[in-house]
Amino acid sequence: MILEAQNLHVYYGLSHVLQGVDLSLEEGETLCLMGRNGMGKSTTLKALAGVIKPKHGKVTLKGRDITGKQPHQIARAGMGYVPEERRVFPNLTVIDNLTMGAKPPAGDGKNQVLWDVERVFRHFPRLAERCNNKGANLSGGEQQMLAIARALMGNPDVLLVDEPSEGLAPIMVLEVRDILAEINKSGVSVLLVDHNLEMAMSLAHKVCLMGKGRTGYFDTAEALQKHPEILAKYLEV
Amino acid sequence: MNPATAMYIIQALHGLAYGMLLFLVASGLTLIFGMVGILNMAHASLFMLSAYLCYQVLAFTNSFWMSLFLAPLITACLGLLLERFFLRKVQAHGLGHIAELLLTMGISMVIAESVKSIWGTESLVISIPPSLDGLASFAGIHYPIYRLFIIGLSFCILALLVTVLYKTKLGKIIRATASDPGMVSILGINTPKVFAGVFALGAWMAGVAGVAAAPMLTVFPGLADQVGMDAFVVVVVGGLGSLLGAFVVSLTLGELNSFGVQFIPKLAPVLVFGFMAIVLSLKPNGFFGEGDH
Repeated sequence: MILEAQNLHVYYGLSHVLQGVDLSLEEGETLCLMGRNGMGKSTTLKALAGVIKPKHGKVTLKGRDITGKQPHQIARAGMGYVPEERRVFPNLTVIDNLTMGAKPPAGDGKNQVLWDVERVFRHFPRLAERCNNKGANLSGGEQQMLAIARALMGNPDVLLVDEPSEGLAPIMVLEVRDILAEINKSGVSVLLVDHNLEMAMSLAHKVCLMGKGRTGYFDTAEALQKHPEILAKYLEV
Repeated sequence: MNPATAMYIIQALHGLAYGMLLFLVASGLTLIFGMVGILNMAHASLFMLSAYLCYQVLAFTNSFWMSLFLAPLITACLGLLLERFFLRKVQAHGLGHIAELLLTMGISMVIAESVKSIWGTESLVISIPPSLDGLASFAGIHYPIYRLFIIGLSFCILALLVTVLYKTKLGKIIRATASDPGMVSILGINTPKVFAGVFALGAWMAGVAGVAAAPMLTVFPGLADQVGMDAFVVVVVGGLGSLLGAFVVSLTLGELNSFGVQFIPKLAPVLVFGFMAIVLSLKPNGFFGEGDH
């Protein structure tokens, strides 16, 4: 188990947004976290990345307790996080966006392919073309690519990706999907939140479904495909 | 050379010297604002304190170069302590910018009163170091060497600052932190440490300006208010957080001051504020807006 969350509870002021989230991600897997809007998927990723502090519960990364640690400590422990808003640095060029947070892998990195600018540009040729453009001048799809590539430059063991297909043209969605598949193949375990069912199912080894701040169904993607009624229960409006 | 032309050149150089000093103070202020969104009311007090420290180090060592080295260093260390033990604590409690503003204002008062109790309220005269005393002559113009030294020194620091900000990884981190500190920490960078470093750098630059200004301006307890006000105008008119804005407006204010005193001396003190009012009414975010470096 590379990443595990047990009974996470998160509050925004008085509102109890996460009411017991349990997750486990095996090394080398892609896990897709799905559910309707407002069920706490993004909040779960934020809690795992340390952006918000859970009130109860425990998070372990590679067996180390990272509950309540600062985001930079969690990142150094091997977690990469691509937030929903992408948050590309608008005043930095593509290459500066990539290199500013570059770091070697947290562990010995022996199971991993090392991500550097050269490798990133091979996988993201669009970014190579726009390498001297400012972040603010990129299209939505390019910003998404940059956000993912920037997280990879930190050589994470686990990558949390929030809604990468949101707002993208269908052709860009396919491109993002292929890249996420390659990243997973290179040895990075991926925890993905996305509304695009087709993309999620094609990438995920396992699926976790969330409702009302709790994790419910958890099984392999193949098993879930045999039970459309479960998907309907969690995803249909 | 035509005496009128010579006068223009001399006034322009005066303006440049004051403008560059102003930039050394204002750039720290705008960098700190860009990173954490607070106007550090104590920034100009650090500038003044360094001028007094220059006096003190001179009294001990009799070496201007030693004061130029030591006084900004002590000021930077003090800045580091202020950040670590006061500002960071207030920020951690999430009390908002008002609390930070009040805190820095309080610190500026403590510095002003300490300065008075240690060095008194009289103006202190610091003489120009002998090696930089006298006039330089070029093309029939005679101009004080010391002011040329200030211009040169400030440009060296500007070059250093630009190199660090635009050519080093640290600089990229600082610029990224200015636009989105939360994201920078998600990438594994300890942002409070970055901020402390920038705070110390800002204090150091204000300290260098303080020492450089000491022989040129009078060192007295009101020095912080005098230069601080101009520095605030620079930061606001240049666009909060914009280094380029701070540079352009510092030089503009320097020239405005210098030529204002020459041609319309009665109006010179209000020229700066008139300029600010006009710019802000046309461009409310200042010349170079927020976060644009």
